[in-house]
Amino acid sequence: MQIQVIEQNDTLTHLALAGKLDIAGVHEIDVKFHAYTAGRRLNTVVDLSQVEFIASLGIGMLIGCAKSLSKHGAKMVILNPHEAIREVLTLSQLDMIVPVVDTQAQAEAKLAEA
Amino acid sequence: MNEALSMTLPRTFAGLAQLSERAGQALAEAAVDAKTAYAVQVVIEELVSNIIRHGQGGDAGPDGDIQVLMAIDSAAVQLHLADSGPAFDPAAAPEPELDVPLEARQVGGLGLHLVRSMTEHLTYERVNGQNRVNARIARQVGVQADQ
Repeated sequence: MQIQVIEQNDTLTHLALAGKLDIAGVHEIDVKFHAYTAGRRLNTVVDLSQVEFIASLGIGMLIGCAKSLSKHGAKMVILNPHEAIREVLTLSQLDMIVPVVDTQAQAEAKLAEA
Repeated sequence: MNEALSMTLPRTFAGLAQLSERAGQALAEAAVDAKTAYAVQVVIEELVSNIIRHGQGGDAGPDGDIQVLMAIDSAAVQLHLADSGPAFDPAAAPEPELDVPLEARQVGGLGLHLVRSMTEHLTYERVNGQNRVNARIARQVGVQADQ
């Protein structure tokens, strides 16, 4: 499991995850992911286009960090998950509390919403 | 329904990783479509990790292992799991509250919610000190003739 910083500035963190977000994968990146999201307390885009698998522990990691960001007035947006990942996010109703979008422009628009 | 995989794994996350890999191979060999294969892998991950996390206190040694059988036919993939941990019925676990705001959202219970959502049937029995779980995942597309 890999975590890549696409961009980080004073207002935004843009991360890309790659690999299997199963139990082993979450354990590999959990600390770093929290540091880049909850630690920076800024609006965050999480690109899931290269994630092959996600289950409850991975979803829990996303929810936990999204909650932490929300407490500090920041938002998380999920970018471009493939179909199977999107279905699991929908079954978990994660998409009802964290926006899931297809493009960078849509992500920026969601983050700009009041 | 043909047996595609039978293995006994230690009640560890390394054992789960080994099972996931072998299940992936068996699903590919049986030409199970990607969507169904993904659901099977989620069900395996959630049920087995639940046994590992909550199964402490069961028998040690060989009886502390998890026995897994996966069978595949043209309509479904069937998983049978047996372990000797404390009694636990995944089919009866309470549903998490999903329709609440982000701030109130709890993570617990999500795994078994996914299992129930992705299975056609999920049954549990306690037999001779063993938990026995049967999970049936309907095949979605690309149904093949019986292998």
